[in-house]
Amino acid sequence: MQTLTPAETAARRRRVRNTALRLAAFAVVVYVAFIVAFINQHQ
Amino acid sequence: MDHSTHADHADHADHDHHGPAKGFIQRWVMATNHKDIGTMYLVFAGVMFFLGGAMAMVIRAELFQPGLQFVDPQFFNSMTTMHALVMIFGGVMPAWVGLANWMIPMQVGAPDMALPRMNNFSFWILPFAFTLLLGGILTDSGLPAGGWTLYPPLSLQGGDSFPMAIFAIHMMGISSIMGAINVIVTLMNMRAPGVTLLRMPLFAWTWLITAYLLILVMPVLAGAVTMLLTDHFFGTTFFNAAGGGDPVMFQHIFWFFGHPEVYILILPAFGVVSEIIPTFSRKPLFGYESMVYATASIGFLSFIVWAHHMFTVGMPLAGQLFFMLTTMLIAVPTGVKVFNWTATMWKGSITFEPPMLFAVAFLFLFTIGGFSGLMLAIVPADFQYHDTYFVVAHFHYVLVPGAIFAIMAGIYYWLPKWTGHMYNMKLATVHFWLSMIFVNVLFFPQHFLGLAGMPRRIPDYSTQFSEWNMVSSLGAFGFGLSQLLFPLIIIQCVKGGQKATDRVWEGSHGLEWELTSPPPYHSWGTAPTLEVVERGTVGH
Repeated sequence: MQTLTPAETAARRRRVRNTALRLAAFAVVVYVAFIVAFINQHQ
Repeated sequence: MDHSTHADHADHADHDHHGPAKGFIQRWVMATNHKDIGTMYLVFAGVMFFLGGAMAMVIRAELFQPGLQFVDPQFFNSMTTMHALVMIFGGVMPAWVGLANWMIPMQVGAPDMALPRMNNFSFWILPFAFTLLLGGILTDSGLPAGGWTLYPPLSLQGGDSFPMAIFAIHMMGISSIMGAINVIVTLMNMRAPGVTLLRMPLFAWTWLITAYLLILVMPVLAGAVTMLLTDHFFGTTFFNAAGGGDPVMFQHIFWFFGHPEVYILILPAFGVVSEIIPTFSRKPLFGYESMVYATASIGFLSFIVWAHHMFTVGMPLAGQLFFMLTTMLIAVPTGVKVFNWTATMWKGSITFEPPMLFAVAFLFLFTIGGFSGLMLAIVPADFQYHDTYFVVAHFHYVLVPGAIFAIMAGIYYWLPKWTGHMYNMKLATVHFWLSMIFVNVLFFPQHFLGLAGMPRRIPDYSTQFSEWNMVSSLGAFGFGLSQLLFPLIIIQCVKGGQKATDRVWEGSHGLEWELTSPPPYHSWGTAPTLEVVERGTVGH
């Protein structure tokens, strides 16, 4: 069996959190930027 | 099978011996286990399939004969609109997320999805979203009836159910994005040591690409429907020509979401079929890496073909040519897949258990849908076919014997692993043949109706279309009734039956088959050894 050391587990948790936050931020930015772009086009 | 695997995971089971939480609320409402959440997604999808199917029955009953028979035209339009929304967002997508939840951690040697609480939240949004969507029936205006594409200005004329539908779509989008984030994070960070990207099973690969598509397009759909909402309630004119807006722009935005959405529905089907065909051909998948690259190519191309849905709105010749050619280009990676599946079967020692029957039917019938798609990609031909039943026949061939057959194939493939019992193979074979026959009786005549000029989304039609409509409706009733066998077979299997072996199928190959049947509540609490990974992974 392969077990992760506490340091490896912590590093994996950090990677999980960072990847998830980046992806969520990307989705929010696309949503907001998309609407803002259309508002600008209509001014 | 190799019995050494028992010993391999017995130790890990000792580490994670605790089972599910006691009590309904603790176990299901507060679920964080990927298997429990996967089960909830699959049950939800099953309920939605039957609800969407009932709507299809209303549509086909009304179209059984020319003239208005059972429902008024407004309700008929509601049925076509809701059938699509329920089947796409409530049926097929949650079914794939359910399969992903069950299988991805088991296939890559992870103990669970990376973000279990978010997993819970992304599921529990769905019942509320669909209650809101279907709650429109209680309003004076009735259910939304402007088509699932929500094209303005028609959709803006909707009554009180319009904002409910828009809010429901936002919620579905949030749920999908959270589900997609979970899949990406799990596959990028939680794979067991030794499970490299090119050792992942094709189902995991196709889901990884699907998840990226979801994150790229769902915010676009959310942005578009938010702008619809502000046009309706806050006096903006994004899509209102009277205020300087452009209704055609909505169509561009919608299909920028909508075409990748088609691949969101079908890419995991490619993954499931790529698992099943090698198992029952008793050969490794032909061209594993080319399958991965073909999937990625399809994902990329899905972003540059959207306007083929709207050739008739009027666009420059260069635009028509561009979208025609890019659409045809998709046939190349899709052809790679079809030839790879065929080459996998070539000279294989093939048996036709229910999962393989559904997978082979998928191969033939999805390809028919692909060919009619190529016909629709040809701009001058599309001017004839546009908004006819030919289009209805095309996308139903891709989605019913395509996506839905693949979902059923996947469930028949992994059900003995999940439950620890074999299901009634004879009844499942009967289910397959009834589905196979009736799905063709249902949808093949719609090609003829479309070529003869019958428009889609109408409750009444010219008498020249009577015969094939009657045949199609009979096929629909037969297909609908034969689907009742599916939950029956599943419930029987969950309750008991012949004990399934760990390997279940003679030719099965993958980390999930290294676990017991049923698998422990926490599958890979300790990562599998490199030896198990070597034995249970498929790539290079």
